[in-house]
Amino acid sequence: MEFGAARSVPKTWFDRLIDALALVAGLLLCSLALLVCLDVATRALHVMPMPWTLDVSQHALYAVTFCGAPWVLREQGHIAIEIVVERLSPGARNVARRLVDALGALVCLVLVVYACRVLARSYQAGNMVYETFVYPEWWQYVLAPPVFLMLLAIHLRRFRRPGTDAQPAGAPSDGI
Amino acid sequence: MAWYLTLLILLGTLVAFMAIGLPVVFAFFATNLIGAFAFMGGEAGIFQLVRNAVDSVQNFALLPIPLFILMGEIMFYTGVAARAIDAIDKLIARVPGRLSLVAIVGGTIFSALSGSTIANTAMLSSTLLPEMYKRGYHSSVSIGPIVAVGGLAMLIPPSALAVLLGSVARIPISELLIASIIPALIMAVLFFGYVVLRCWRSPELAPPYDVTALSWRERLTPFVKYVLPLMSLFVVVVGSIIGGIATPTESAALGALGSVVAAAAYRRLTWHSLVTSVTQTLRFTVMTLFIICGSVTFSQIMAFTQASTGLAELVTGSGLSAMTVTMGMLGILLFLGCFMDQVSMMMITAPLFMPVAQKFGLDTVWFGVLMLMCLEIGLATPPFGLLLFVAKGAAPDTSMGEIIASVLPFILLAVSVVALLLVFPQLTLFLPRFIMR
Repeated sequence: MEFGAARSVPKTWFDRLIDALALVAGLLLCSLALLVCLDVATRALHVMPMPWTLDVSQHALYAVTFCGAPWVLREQGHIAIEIVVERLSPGARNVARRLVDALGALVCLVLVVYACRVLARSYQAGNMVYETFVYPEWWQYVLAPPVFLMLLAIHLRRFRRPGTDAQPAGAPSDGI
Repeated sequence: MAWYLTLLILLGTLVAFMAIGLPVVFAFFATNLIGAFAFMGGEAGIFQLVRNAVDSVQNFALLPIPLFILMGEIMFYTGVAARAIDAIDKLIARVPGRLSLVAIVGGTIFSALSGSTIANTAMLSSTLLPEMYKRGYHSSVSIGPIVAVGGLAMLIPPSALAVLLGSVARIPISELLIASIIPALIMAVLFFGYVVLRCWRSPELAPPYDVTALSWRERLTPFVKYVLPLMSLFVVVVGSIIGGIATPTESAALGALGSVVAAAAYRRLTWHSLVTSVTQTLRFTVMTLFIICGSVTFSQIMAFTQASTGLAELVTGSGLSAMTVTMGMLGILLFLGCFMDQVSMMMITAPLFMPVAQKFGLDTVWFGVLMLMCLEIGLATPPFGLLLFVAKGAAPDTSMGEIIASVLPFILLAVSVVALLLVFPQLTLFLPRFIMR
């Protein structure tokens, strides 16, 4: 699988990490479809019950979202409404885009700090989650801090070197 | 602080962040960070926001979103859908606006196989637009119907956005999916009738051309071979929900697997097409679900500060009728549709509109379908309707003004269907009540 093939800038180790996470997300997505189908089939045939499917699917969906988030941000896949920005002069537009990246970085910084604190609190509390499997609650919060940190890094990279990543399409180009 | 000030501050901040071009997900995160800190107990509010972000997508009910999209992407990138369109093309004989009618029929059928409006529009554009231009079709009967029918994928199950709306607005997803079928078909029939009428009255819009004479057998065989088997996927997805055999999530998984099997059976499945389909699905899925992560606290702040209930009580106490209020809410959605994407619209309006709808005793399934239809219309409303840009990508030589002009009559038709459903809720509720009782 080749993620981010449209980029013209040489890939750094950070980009490769983003791609690797996206690959994990893609594989998880395919596995999810197969897992749910298998669950339906085994239930219909009354063989090998898989009561853990629901819990595993829910956590996998969370992992898909968080593992894929840095890749989508790097590829400018997040929807932005550029009605105002598009009407600015090129210079002002550049300033606006840097302001957006600065704001994005600030938001991610706060999220990194608080995601770490939520993780630490959960670890210290020692709470357990009782689902099909029993596991420590802090496991759920492990992904958030590094992902928000990666998002922060992408925003900072764009702020420092505008044009590093794929450019916005100039229109709300993504949706369902 | 008074609830209306809270509401104004939150909405104002969100709109301001979006207006400067901050990606929607970060605009939600930023607004919610401010809102959570200010109105939900300082740091405790931010802790809650982070927990919400993590918990929000750990939801089995959201799983049909990627699976429904995957269905459409596989059909599109493997070329199976294009072959089905080709089969429909052979089936429809020499009639006024033939290719436009192929687009409407094909688009409606593909909507029943795909949860992605973009895949639907892109597939119709890439397969039919070049031929339409070659035959001298005017944009009003080429781009117009393609964009209009492309949006039907949002209404006809499998619909990823219907699942999202059901999940966000707490509307039974199965009922919402089934209730959207008849309104979507009414819309398709109206589009069909409009094109026939226009091409009949102004034949120069779609110059007639000689269609290769085919026997009935030659015309029917491709349909039976390439369209009917695909329709069985729709039967699997919708039938398993109706029959109570599978939940929407399970039916979506069966549909996704079925589309892969269908592509393989037609010998169209390649590693490249599969990877492209998964990549596109991942892109849309992460974008959508991450917005949910960012926006879920928005509705909590609204509830916590009494903004949503305050608004609901204000509207109910205003003496306005349920019909007026419903029209007002739908009008807001249509207005927002000109500037905003569908997921953001849902995340902003659902927490505000649903309490109002419940206070007025509106049927949530009916209201949900009306919301979906307005969101669907928003895909084609200028200046920022998403499908307008998909069409522009497929027809770069056509000006945006011409594209918009070609779509406007179809938007009016769609709005008239919304009005029809407002007056006759039974049109929406008949099918789910008949099936689910």
